Amino acid sequence: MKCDECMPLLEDFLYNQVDGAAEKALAEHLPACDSCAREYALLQREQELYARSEVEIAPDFWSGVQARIASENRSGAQWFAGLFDAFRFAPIAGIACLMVIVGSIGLWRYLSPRTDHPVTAQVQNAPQVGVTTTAPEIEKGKIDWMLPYRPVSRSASRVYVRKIEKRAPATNVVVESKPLNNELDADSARHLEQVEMLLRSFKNSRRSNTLDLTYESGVSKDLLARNVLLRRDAELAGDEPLTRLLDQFQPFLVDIANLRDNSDSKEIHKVRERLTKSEIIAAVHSF
Amino acid sequence: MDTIRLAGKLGTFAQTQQRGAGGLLERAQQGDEEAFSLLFEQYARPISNFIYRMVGRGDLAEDLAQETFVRAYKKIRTLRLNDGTQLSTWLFSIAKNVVRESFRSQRIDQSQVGIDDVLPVSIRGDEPAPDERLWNKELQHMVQQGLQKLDPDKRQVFVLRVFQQCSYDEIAAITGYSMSKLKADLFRARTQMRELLRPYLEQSNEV
Repeated sequence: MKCDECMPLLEDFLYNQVDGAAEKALAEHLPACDSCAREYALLQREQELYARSEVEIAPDFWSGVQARIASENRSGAQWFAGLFDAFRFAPIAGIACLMVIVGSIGLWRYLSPRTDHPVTAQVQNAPQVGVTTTAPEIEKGKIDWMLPYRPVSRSASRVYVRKIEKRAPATNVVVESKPLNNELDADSARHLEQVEMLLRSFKNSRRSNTLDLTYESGVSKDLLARNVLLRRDAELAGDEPLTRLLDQFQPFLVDIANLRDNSDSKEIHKVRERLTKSEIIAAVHSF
Repeated sequence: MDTIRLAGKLGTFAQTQQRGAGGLLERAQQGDEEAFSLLFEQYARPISNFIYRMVGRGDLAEDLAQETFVRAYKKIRTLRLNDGTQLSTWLFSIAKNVVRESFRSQRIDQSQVGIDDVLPVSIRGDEPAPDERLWNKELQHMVQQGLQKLDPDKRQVFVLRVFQQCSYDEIAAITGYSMSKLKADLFRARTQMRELLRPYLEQSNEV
């Protein structure tokens, strides 16, 4: 064995971790090689120094470990016991959970904008056929349709229902409202009203050669944008009558929106004529 | 020669401790507390030594050693010794983790070791003379100070190799280091410690 082979094995040899053949070779090499023997002797002396003392284990060390194990077991057992204790309250907890679930469902249904509850309305004097709402703040005739569109939260409890009221001869007759299968949501109802008012206003406007249509044009642009969105929603919801109606609005809204200030009376007249022919106002009124 | 005969006296910690541990382990895994206490008796000293050398404080070392055995007790049922893994390796791994967590949580100032922090030591062989006892205590303090000056990786490798006489494979299994890293760490640690203990080495040579 050469020195460069011997040196790396000295430590293993010291700790008795060398295989049989290498051990034999080392045992033969060390007495013959001064440098390797010196290194080995140094390792031995170091090891003796390190090994001179050893940590004494405290007599109560094991009892300390036992106490900690027992404590951990106790806490584990308490956890299990607590779990079983909890089962005693399981029926009460179950009932409470059920009540919470039922309450949540009820609340959700109550807050949902679509509802199947029939709505009755007391109509004073001459009953009207058309779109009415049950929302107190949007009473028919009091709607400022010129105001810009204000979206209504879908979570609000206000519900707008398409109603067809019976013509009643007498006053103070309670008219039974007849909810249709497809209810009209607040956005659509308001939109229909605003469009109807716009078209009616445009159709009945004073006939003159020129007309300042700045305001109508602006409102028509707003309604047109809204119309596109509502039409898409109605189509997605599968509400064909509403989709068709909104489809019919679109060309008129485009025409009115495109009328320039002080437009020629011929242009205005053409739009009016088409409006009259299409009977769109009657259609929206009876919707 | 004395030097060569001495080599045969030393052996790996694992080799000596593993004998007879297999049956005890099985019993301990089946919930036999007596078997666990016997295993504990076998490993309490080396594990406590390792932890003490790592943290350098007697009170903390005792606490961490207890924590190590509590963890071992909780996990021993699920222990599977595969691929020649030994029980000692498993225990040292737990101890290493406990020490590392302690370093993280307590931010031990590793360079500060008071002489009163040294655990009570038993001197091998006959009761030494008072001056030798004093020399031993001083040596013990020097060794502990030297260890605390090593960075934790090197200290870990050095303690496992020199104090616990673990093989390279065992150290690699315990620490997770590559063989090249642990050999390099060991070489540097040994050189650093040799420098520190040179006066004592010369003194012991004279003796």
